[in-house]
Amino acid sequence: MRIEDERDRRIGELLDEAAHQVRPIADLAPVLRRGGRRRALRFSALVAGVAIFVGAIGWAGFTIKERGDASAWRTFGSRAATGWTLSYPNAWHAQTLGTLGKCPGEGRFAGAIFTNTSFGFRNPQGRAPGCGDRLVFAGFPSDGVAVAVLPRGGTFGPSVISPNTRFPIRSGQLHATGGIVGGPQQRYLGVVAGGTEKVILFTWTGSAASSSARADVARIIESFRMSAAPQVPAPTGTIAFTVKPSDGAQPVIYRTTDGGAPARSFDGALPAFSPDGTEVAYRSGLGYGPWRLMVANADGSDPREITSFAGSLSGVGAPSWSPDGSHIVVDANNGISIVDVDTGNATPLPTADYGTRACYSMEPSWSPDGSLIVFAALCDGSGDGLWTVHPDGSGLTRIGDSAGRFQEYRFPVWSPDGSRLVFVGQQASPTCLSSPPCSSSTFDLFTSAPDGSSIVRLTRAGTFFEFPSWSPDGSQIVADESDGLAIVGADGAGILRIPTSGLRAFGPSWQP
Amino acid sequence: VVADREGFEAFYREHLDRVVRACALVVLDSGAAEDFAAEAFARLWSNWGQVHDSDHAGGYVFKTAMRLCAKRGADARREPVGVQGDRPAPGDEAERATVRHDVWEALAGLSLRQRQTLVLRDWAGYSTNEVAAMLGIAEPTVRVHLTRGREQLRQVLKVQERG
Repeated sequence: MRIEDERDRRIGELLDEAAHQVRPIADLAPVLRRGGRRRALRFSALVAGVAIFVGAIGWAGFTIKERGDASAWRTFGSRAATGWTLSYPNAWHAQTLGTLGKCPGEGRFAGAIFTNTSFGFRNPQGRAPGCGDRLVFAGFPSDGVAVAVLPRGGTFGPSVISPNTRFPIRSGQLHATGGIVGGPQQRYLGVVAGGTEKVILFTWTGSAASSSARADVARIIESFRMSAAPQVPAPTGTIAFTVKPSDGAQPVIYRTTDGGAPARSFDGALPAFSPDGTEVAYRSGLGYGPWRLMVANADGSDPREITSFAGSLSGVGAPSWSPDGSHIVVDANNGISIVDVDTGNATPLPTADYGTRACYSMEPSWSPDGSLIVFAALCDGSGDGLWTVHPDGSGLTRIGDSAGRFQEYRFPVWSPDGSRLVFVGQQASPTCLSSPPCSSSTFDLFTSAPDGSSIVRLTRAGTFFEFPSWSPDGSQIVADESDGLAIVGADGAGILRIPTSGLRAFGPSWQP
Repeated sequence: VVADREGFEAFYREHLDRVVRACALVVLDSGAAEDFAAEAFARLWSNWGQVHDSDHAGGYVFKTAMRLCAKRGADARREPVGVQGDRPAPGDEAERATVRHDVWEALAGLSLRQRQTLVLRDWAGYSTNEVAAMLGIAEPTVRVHLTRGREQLRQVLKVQERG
């Protein structure tokens, strides 16, 4: 057991005491029977699979590489239940379209490009596909699939795909794209996954594409749209972030300038630059016990304690400054408190109220005009959301759609001009076509208007984003993603992972 | 095949208690926990031919059982079943039985997520990052659930200290 401190160890002991009351009967026979049956089934499935392959019908499953690294390959089964069959290994298109390349000088996966053009593939002007060209797939009921190459910046035309049956794809954001056409018997969809070096072909058969099948396709295209989006420019300025040492020691704040190698700055966690950029507020540590709200100069010098919080729940959000720098709002002890920087006096604010349901109010952010504080609520049962309240405690309001679009709303942060909120929303995994082996959910970045309306998705990386922070000009957002830092365009264009020298980075803050 | 089966049987006897106990702490039902554990071991047995590393297999069977527990534990009853029945006995044993009873009751007062995070982190010893990955939730969420779970158990500790 790797319990870190005495208190946790005692809780572990309590659980162990209770656990020892459970004394299972080690009856192996039913286990062997169940497992043995499954072995037999798998063997017969293998035989059936070989028969199908010999019949050249196709594979029952195929593999989609969702992200740039090979560990993320995932196999989906057939979707007979919704009228889908998926096929890939067709010799013709596997040879011709099998490989995509990289645009030289544009970073990784800048476009969907053929590198293997030796099969004579040419666009109508006789040119071989090149860097940055877009690909359009069209399927025809009798002829199979056709592919057209559009010059970089070109648009769809009716001669390529019928406008009536063209699948709506947001143009201008894609290097890689897809399309659908089809007759009453067969429909095809081709997708080039620009971030994945793969061409993937979906076909389905049936009388008509059901709305649910279309919704599935929309989700697939959307997911590839994100992975194929253009590169984000390298960040400029300074980003401070937290590094959690692997040995369980206290966290440390590092800084990176213009995306360069990070440098250790001072001890603490979850830094937040003051509005004028000269100071950093941060927490003395992470954990479950008492903690101190600290302020230091931006370079880490002159650290001073503003106040301390007792209690078991230390809160999980970063501090947030009032625009005049006189106050800091923090989450602590299951609520939100405003702290006077000069006196250290802490004033609690009213918190999320869902009647009888117990909630944690956390992760506050102060609006740039000073009039509102937004925060997240995590409650028992469903019904989490974002709330706003005036700094004087009046006007507690739930914002956002009440339809429960997200299972969790987290980390709301105002844009520098106060016109948008970025937040983290938890949803069921968008590319999850079959039940297992998909992970249950992802935490992606979204923006919304300050009243929670007009939600825009920024990422669909299938990972966990946390602690977003805006660039000073509001054009980019930095957030941590699975122990690394990622820069995302505020309009949703692309993701750039910035190097953290192998450090486990989280909780970034962009210096104004 | 005989050696195959003997190896599996040894593995089963070594890991069964831990898997069932973790599951029972989550679903509050020792019978259901045994069922889920049996299913997890059966899945492992169907792949036993490919298993070369028993540590890895231990992690696999534990995580599989915990997933099954979580899935069906959502509908589980809130009253502990089959684990609460210790009759107070004289002396030290009576005190321990009381503690056990209090712990099971404290667990019943928690949500499924809180029990999962508590058991995986504080009993099974996974890091909060690992727990987040296993449960498909964000690391700060793990911390929030864990905090509330620990608060409950600290009440048990307080009573214990007063007694």
